[in-house]
Amino acid sequence: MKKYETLFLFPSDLAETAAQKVFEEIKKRITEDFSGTVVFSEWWGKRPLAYRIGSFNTGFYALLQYSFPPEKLKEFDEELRINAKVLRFLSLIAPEGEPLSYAKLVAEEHAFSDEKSAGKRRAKKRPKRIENLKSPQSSLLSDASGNSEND
Amino acid sequence: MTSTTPKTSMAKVNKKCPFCANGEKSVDYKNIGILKQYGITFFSKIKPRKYTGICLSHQKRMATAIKQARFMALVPFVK
Ligand SMILES: [Zn+2]
Repeated sequence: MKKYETLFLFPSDLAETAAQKVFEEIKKRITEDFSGTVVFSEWWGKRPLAYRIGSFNTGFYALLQYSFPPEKLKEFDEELRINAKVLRFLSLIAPEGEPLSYAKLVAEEHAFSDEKSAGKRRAKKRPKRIENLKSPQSSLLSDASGNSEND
Repeated sequence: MTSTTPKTSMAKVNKKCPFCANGEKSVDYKNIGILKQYGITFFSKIKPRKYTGICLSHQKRMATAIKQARFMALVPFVK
C-alpha cells in the first residue's frame, strides 16, 4: 500500500450535491473494492477555471489522499478517465507532511492576487508609456491610412 | 587613469532561494499563491530563475508544479 493524492475536477453542470455524491462514490470504491483507506479528503467547492474546458467556466474541486495498492492504480485511473462525471483528475504520490487546507491556500492566493500585481505594473509603467507613445502613434496612424489606400 | 567599476545589474544581484530558506523540499502545485509569487509572470509564463533566485533543483520542481497546475486549470496557460 502506498499513499497517493488525487485532485478531482467535476463539471459544473452537475449540482453541487450531485458532484459530492460522485466524490463519495469514488471514495466508497477505493475503500470497498480496492481495499484502500482514505487518509484525507476535502471538498473545495465551486471555483472559476483558469481557462475554458469544453463549455465550462467553473468547476467543483475536491482533494483526496488515500493509501492504495500500487498494482491496481492503472485500473483505477482508467476507470476515472472513462467516468463522464469527472472532468479532470491528477493522481500523484502524496507529498510528505500535512496536506495544506483549502482555506490556507485561498488566503495565500489572495495575498498575491492578480489585481495587486497588475496594479503595481500599471503604477510603474503608465506615466512613461504615455510620453513615449505620443509621437509614434501619429506616424502609425498615417501608415495605416496609407496601406488602406493601396488596397 | 581611473579604474573602471564593473557594471552591476538587477539580474545579477544574488538572491537566496525562498524554498531552501524555508527548508521546503517540494513545491506544491496546489499552492497557487506561491506559484504566482515566485514561479510565473502576470501573463502566466515561467519566470527564469535568473530573476527569482530559485536554485536549480527547486526551479525544476517549480516548473513541473506549474505544468500540473495548468493542467488542472488552477493557473492559465496564457493570459
Ligand atoms: Zn532551493
